[in-house]
Amino acid sequence: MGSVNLSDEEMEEMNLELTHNEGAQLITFILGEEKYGLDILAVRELISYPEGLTQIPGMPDFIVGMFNLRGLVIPVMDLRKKFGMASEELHEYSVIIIVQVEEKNIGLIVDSVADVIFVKEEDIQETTEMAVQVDTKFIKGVAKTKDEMVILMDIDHLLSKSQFESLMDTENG
Amino acid sequence: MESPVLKEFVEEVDEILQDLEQGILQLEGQPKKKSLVDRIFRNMHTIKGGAGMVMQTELADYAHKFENLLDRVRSGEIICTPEMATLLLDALDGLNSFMDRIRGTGDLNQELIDRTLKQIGVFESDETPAAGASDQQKSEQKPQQDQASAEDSVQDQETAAPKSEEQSAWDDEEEDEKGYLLNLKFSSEMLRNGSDPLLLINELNEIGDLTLFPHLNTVPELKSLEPEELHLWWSGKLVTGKSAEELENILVFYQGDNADVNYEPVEAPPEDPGLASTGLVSRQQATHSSADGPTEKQIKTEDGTEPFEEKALEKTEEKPQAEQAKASEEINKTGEMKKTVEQSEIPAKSPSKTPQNEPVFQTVQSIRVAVEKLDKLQNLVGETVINQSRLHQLSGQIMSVDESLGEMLSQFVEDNEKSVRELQDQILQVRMIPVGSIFTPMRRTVRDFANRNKKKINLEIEGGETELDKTVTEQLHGPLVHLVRNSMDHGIEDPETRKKNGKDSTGTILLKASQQEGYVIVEIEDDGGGIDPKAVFDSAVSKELISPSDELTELEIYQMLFLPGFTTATEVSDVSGRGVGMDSVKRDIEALLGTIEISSTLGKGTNVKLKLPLTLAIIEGMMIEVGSQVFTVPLLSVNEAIRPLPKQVKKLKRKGELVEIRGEFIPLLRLHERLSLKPRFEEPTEGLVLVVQHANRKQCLLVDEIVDQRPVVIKSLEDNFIQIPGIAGATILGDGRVSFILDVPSLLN
Repeated sequence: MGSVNLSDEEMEEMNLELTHNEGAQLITFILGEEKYGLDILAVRELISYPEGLTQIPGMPDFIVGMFNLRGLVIPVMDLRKKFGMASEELHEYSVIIIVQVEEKNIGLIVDSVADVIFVKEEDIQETTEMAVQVDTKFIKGVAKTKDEMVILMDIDHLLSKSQFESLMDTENG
Repeated sequence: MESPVLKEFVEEVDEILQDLEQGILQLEGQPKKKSLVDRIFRNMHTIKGGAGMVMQTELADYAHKFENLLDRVRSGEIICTPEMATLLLDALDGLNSFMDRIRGTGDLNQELIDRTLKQIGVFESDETPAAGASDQQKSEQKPQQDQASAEDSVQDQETAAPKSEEQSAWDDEEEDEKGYLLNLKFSSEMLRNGSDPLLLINELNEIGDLTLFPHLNTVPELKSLEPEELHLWWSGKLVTGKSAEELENILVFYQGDNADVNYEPVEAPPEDPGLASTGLVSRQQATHSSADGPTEKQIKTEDGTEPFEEKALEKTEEKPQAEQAKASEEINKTGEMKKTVEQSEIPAKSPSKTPQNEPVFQTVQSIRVAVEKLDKLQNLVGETVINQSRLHQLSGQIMSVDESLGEMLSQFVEDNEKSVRELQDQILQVRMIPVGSIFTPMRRTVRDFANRNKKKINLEIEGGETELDKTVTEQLHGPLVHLVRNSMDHGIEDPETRKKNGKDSTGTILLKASQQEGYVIVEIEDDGGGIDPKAVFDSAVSKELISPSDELTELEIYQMLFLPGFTTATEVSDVSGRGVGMDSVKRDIEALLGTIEISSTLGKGTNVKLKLPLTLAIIEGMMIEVGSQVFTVPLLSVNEAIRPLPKQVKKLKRKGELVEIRGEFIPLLRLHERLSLKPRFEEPTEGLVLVVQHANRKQCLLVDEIVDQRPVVIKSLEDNFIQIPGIAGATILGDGRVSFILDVPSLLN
């Protein structure tokens, strides 16, 4: 880090992180018109859209397929489809966020990844009553930063077993 | 549990406790086997020592009390009665309870601890412990003391009648293993005569613990090597329960003019048989050349000419005392004489107190590795295998651009392939553990059940050394417990019924494992009442699972036992009979890619046969294409692939389609319909029909074509968020794409 010149703003942010350990580091991404945040600890890595996705028979359409990530077989979920937004053509700039929850991996397709930010606990508002495009069950709250609002995604709920089971039940009768 | 020392202690004790359990159970059957008492004592001592080290003083005290008790058993003061065995097993539960507390997985069962400690008192305070056991023990001990220097005690009677001297209260001398040094120089003509040194080596291996070293110094150079002659010779040691006579009876067939096949009993098998045996050769020669001393002459003639029965008789007639006196007398003579004495004594099963042969501890260097690390290693190897096949494809592509470069790469890839395969094999080997590790704990289950339910059951284990992947072995445990309980509860009848039916009042359950063509077969067999196929049939009819007019083979009838909620047991017991068992057993076995079959003879017994793959990590797969997707079918499920003629395909009203293959009608499943894919061929007469089989059911699958066939690394989908019906797992193809492995059993339903 020694040779890197940090701007005042960045220094301030770092200090904020160091002094305020009560809070969370988020990775933010864009989906449609809004900015969403995910706890960075749940993120395994970011990759670009892979070639040769294998379709999974009998799955809901938002599970677009599975791919091989260095020997791991990982399913991919299209968040636009999952949240009922207009589906965009996938291209080389489409990003997949590989999240790991309870030792399980899944890839989430988002429009683009924005930033890594730190939010203090007091800036997080745990509310589910919001006018957002996404079904509020998957929203944990909202975090306010200096100039914008980040919607916190409830990744555990999004990937909970019951979610998948209920979906599979409806799909397969 | 954070402390690494404590963690290591817990791991070590877990292993010891398992060994302890087996030891106690064996001791219950053979209460006079000293080596067992020694083993149990040692285990208890190790626990005590270890517990002290990690400051578990309560546990150390507890173990110490039992160590004291065992010490008295060891010294022959008291004998292990069935009551004591029960106490020791309870103490084992007590130790386990301590371990639970250390692990943080449970509370200390103080009631059990107090009770067992109190029970020690019964054995401690009273020379003659409680109840019926005391009489038995008195009668065993008294005569022993009276006859300490007794009249002719024929050794063979020792087990039957307890009238030997106290010092030889142990059976070990009788049964314990003896060491022999072997020297196997066969006739060089041996192979021409149609014989084979392997025959002998295998036979010796079966009767005991054999360690042989081949000697290569007599092998000529390749140019002068006569391929039909035997140039090798072997030396080594054999530790066996067989007597010298029995050994001689085996070796005699290999002895001859040009052969030097001999053995020599040893007091304690040497550390390094390879070196020691060279000493043996010279010693043998010395014995032959020097012919002074009457004893030695006698021995030599015995060894050479006299019938062995006679020899044994002569020896057993000797009074133990006289023999000991003789021995001590002769020890004072020359060293060579001493050897001769040993030679004469061992076949006669010397009744001296210290066992002639302590069990040999082979020092195999090993390290403890967490399974997690092995899993990671295996995953890495799996990736390497996949990369290897990608490299293979790549070299083909490069070949079309630059032939010489492609040639070089291709050569390298092929070389690498060998290492990769070897790596894969080795890592699989490392993960293999003997299936006996889940068989032996059943002894306790069986014992406790039999005691509680007033049944007499003997558990026999065969082929416990058969190896299976650790994961498979572990996942087999649950189903196995279930099946053994079924056998004990519904199979084996109570002693009265058994006697009435003319059977031995003790029932037998046999656990057997064997390897067969890349599979491991595990059988659970009992000699109980068997299952009445008619009762099963009627029960199925009353549950409306089948109609009374259905005609089923016996196998099919028994297969119905695996249907959910099916039971024929008239009463529900605490261990089994709720009808929720067999279907879950079947599910578990199928999750291991195995099959299960029941066969039974009414009144004679039941046999449950499990067929399991050696490993779950890799299977031989056949890649098939449906539409644009490639699926993998386990090759072992595939019978054949055909393209049927139009007249072979029959449509049934509301019952789907059948394909007639050599007179047999097999239901057809259009795979693309099941998988909701757009295929290239919609009709079986244009595409390809794969005949798959699971257990005894067959099914035709319509696919587009077969693309490849090779071993594939299985990736479990359980690590992901989704379970896909009809799909057993996934694998990665040479081009890096994911291919799903079809779950054949579920496609049959």
